[in-house]
Amino acid sequence: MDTQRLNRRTMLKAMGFAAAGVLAGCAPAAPVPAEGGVAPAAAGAEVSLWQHTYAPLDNAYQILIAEFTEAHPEIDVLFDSVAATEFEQKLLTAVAAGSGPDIFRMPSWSTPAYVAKNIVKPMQPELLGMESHKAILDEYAPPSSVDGWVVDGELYAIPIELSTMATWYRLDIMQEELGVGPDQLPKTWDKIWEMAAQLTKKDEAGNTVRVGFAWPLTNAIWLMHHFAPILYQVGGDFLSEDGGSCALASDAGVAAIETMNAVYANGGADVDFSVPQALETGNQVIEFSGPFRPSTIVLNNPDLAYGAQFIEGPWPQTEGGVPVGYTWGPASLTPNPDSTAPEAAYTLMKFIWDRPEVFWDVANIMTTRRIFMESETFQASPWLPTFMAEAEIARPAVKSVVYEEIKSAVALMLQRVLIEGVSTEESLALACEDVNNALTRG
Amino acid sequence: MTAAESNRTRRARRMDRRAWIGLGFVLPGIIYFSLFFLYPVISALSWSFTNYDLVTEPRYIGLDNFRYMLNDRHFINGVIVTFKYVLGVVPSVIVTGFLLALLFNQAFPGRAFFRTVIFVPYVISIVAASFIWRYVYQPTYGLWPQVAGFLHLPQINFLNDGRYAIWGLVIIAIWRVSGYYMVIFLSGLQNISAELYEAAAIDGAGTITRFRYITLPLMKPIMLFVLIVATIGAFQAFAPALLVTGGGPAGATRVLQLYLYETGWLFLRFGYASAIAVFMVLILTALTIVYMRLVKVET
Repeated sequence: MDTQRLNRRTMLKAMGFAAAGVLAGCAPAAPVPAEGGVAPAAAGAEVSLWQHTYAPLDNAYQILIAEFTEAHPEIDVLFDSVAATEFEQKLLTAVAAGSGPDIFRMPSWSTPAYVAKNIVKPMQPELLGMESHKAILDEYAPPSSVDGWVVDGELYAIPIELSTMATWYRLDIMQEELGVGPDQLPKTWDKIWEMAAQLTKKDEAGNTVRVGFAWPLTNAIWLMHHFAPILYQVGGDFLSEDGGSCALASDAGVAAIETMNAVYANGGADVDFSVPQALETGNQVIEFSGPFRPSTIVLNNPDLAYGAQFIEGPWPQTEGGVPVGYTWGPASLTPNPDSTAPEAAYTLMKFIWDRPEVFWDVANIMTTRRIFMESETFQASPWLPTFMAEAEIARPAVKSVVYEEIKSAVALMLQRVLIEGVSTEESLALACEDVNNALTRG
Repeated sequence: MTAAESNRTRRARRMDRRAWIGLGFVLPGIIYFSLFFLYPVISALSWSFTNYDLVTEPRYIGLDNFRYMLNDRHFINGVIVTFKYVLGVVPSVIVTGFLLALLFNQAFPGRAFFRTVIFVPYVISIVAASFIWRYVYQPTYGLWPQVAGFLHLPQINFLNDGRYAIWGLVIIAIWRVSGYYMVIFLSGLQNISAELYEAAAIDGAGTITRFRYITLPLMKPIMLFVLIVATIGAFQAFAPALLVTGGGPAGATRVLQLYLYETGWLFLRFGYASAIAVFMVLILTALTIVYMRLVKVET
């Protein structure tokens, strides 16, 4: 089994690193950070950086690392792009062996668990040339948009990707079918589902050939990204205020699921209809996603252009409810507390942190950093303001050490209702049983 | 010391030397087995009594993991789904593999080519195969709905319909491993002496009689071997459940191996995952004992 094989490797690595640790005891003390600036990196230092594989993100890193190496020839950067599905396995195994990379990616939702397991330690602002954690947070607008990486007021990583959620439309189909233009995009769930129903099309045999909308029913990560802000909008939450018990089984929980299910009830979606890249092929008209979506739309179908065939609109809100958006961050720069070259690592992090426009130019990956919002890149990107406006009202995913189990429970809960037709109340009760079990076990 | 005693001592020394040489030959195997089989099993067993999470120091919690297992409806669902899968896969691949072996035991033009074609799915990476089948099962424009439509068969949504999703995975397994078992059966069939069939034919036995009284009895040990190997293989099914259906919809294809993986690598409950692994080892050990008893009876 993989688990055991990895642990043998772990043992061997641990022995190797123990030997290295003994030798390191003879090494001179680490250099002191320069006053008011980034710490001087040790000459000949080597910094390893792991991110999850996403081709545009890889390209951005390659560019930044090439620039960094030119500016800092004394630091070697070892960049490793690891498949997202294997990332956590590889990282945790390496960390357990004491051989983790100097900098790695920690998704915002994993932060509480990593903190609880002592995998990460609070950022050292002075090594980043900043006075305090608050000073780093103030770099973002609003500072709360970085909340996913904050635990007990302390920041644990620098966000590289901090997305918000909005709506993407096939404008050409909407104009042709409904005569709806970019200034008439729906703002509430009722309106958007009404439009989805009007855009769903069947052939003469009664088979669906186009849907207005489709939930990502088989993808637990995206189900969570979609469900969380709806739950918040209707006044609900995943956990009780003290975080000790499940709060899903509530009127708000029912309302959130019913909001999602309404699109099936009114014929705006079809659970048996599924086409890959459906927005690009015109088999789907409305989709919720992040600001990076245009790059993949154009890649998959070069005939589509922003503003002509597709356009963004705000994330829908509940009629009369409190407007809430959603923010999530899969990519970050997280310093490894066991790094043997922390100064060099922070030097690299600072270099990358100060160039958010590269991520946008190469990969359409945004953050809410002020210098990015003031940049020409930002001003020239027509759909970014919509996503930045969402950041103003955004909340992150539930912050819990058992996030993965909550996510799994929510995905099962939604699949039971949306696919199998199980009653909302019954499914919520089962989800809460799962969440409470996870919380009890800690 | 008498001459006889001296001879005995020399013989004993020679035996000792031969034993040491023999041990030298098997030592690499013993070391390999100990490191890669015994050690992991012992590790998993010891972790199953802890709250091990891979990162922090494990704490001994006695039988808590096993107690939790008894009331964990996801574990129970995993057991039910796995048994459904095993019961669907094992008889199907034995029958399919055996029928294919009987077919390819006959001489006909292009036999070698078609045999290779049928064996190819087994050597395709399971990950690649899973992605192919995910496309095949796409409910709208996948290959399956097109074929079903053409043949006027009912449209089954293998990806999103909890009633059929597990059978979608069974079909993938049949497609993938039947060729492998065909080869095993074929080697068995080709070991049956032609003289037996000739003698039976002279005695007036027809095709069905020869099959019933010669082929089937002589193939029984091979069938038992395939039975146990196929059962173990089916119990270990993981990749298609992860990559084709993701365990869904709503846990309908969350086989025990997938639940074990999620428990360990997503939820970081390696102690509990080890307890599930121990349960699986016990099940497979029990099945192996039954198999060995059956073989003993047969021989």
